[in-house]
Amino acid sequence: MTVDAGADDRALQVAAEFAGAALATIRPACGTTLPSVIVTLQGIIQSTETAAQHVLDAADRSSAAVARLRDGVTLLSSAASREIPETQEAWDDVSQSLEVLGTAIARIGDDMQFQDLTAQYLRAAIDTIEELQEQLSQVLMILPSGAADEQAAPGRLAAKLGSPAMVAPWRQELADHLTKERNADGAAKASQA
Amino acid sequence: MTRILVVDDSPTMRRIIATNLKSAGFDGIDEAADGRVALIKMLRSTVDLLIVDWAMPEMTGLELLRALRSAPSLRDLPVLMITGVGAEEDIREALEAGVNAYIIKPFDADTLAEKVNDLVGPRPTVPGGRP
Repeated sequence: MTVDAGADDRALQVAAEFAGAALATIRPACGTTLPSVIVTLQGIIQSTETAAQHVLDAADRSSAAVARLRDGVTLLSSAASREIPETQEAWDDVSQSLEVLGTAIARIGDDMQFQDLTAQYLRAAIDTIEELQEQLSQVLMILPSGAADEQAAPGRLAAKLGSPAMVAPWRQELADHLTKERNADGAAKASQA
Repeated sequence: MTRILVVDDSPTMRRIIATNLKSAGFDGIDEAADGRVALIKMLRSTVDLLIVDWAMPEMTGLELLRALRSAPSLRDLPVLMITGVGAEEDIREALEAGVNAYIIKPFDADTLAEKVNDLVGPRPTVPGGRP
């Protein structure tokens, strides 16, 4: 059996290049993207918590208003029906509508449970990402860093993986640049016309 | 007055549970954001029912429950667990640890009222409460 040393060398070289390219992607993902994803997920938990509290505040105020309206309707209904019997049906309708409204408001408040459940899923995802980041960091510490790491595009990678908190300034610069470009192009076409 | 302690790290959940309890006619409601605070509150004042979440930082609901069941003065306290944890083995674990009733989130007001009434007895209907 003959051994093709040249083929082995080429295979090793290809493997090394592949590993180098993979490292160039993994390093920024570990150092930049994963932390920014964690920050973003934590931000979502906080913002949905605040929003849920606002919804519950509004639900509480609405429930109190419905209770006052219910009392008022009961009082007005009994007084008015004596004077104008035809209005009784309308008062009954209002009372039923208030019951429907009260039930709907209570349902809105109860459905805010989704915030807690969503937050629990997000916290589990954050724990997983942190664990993955820790393991990746340990692996990367024992591997050599190369020039390719510096040339990687963490912003592009982060955008693909969805980390708006980290790449927002970069994306805004791009948006401003493209807007200026488009405006300039539009102005040029207008002057030609 | 029935004294109920609601333990959940989510302010939203504490508020929803408390609102539902008030609508069901229960007024003596206290809250705690984690198991440690709850334990201190229970040691300092009388509680008739503990409503507890499972997944909480610092001290989980199950850890709190085990601490309760090892304390002679709190061993028989009724405990209702309200949690998003719904796997069969988890429910079994909670029941074996001493949970008296178990509600899986998201819950509805009727389920909560039914379980609480089973544990501490029904309250009079609140005027203007839930239809």
